Amino acid sequence: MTPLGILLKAGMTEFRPRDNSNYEYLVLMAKVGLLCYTVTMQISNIDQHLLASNINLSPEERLTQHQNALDLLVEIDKAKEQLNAKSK
Amino acid sequence: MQNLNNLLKLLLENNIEFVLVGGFASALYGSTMVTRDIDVCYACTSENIQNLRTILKDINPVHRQTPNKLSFIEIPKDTNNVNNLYLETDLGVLDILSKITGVGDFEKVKSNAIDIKLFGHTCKVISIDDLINAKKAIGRNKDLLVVEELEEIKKMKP
Repeated sequence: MTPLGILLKAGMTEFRPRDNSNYEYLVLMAKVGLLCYTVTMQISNIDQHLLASNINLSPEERLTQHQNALDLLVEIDKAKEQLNAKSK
Repeated sequence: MQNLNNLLKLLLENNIEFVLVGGFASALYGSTMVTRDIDVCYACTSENIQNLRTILKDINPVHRQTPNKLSFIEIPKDTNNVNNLYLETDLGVLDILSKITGVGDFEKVKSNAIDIKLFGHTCKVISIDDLINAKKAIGRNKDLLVVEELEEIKKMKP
């Protein structure tokens, strides 16, 4: 179960109303769900999609992708240096 | 031209016994963070250091933290008490560590390491749990971000 799922389940258990007012219950659950989603998004700094895409690569492909990203960073560094030199 | 993959290949081709650790190991597990160096855990015995000198001599290894970037081929002369080496080579930055913070010495790291086939060779890579412990022990923001990713990768793996 995802962290969001765990929080939702906990919310459903904790906040289940004592009467059978379905409307109020649904509104409450929607609020709890929205709160849980917001909290989950705020505490997560990671790109799930990119991670999942990396996991599907072979180890060598991951390293090739890493090297490509590093090459790009080096190019950006060089461009920054050139800009700094020009501004001086 | 700097190329960390070629640097790793060079180490693997020469059959030295090391364990890949740090950011490069994280990338191998699927982390999205980019690292600019290769960290390896290595038993820094006098004999091993001499082997390393032979292997690296063609890519001009220097101690990058010394003011004049002294050559690793010549320095240190006494190789009996070496713990860590912070090198820069033509292929990229290479850090040689005899101990990993939060995990232990080479034997400890090796005992939990896993084997991954890379470039036609078997590469020993620090276990994901040891890597998480090491990153937590260092505790910089960028390390803690990698911890988050590694924890997620553990959940994603079948």
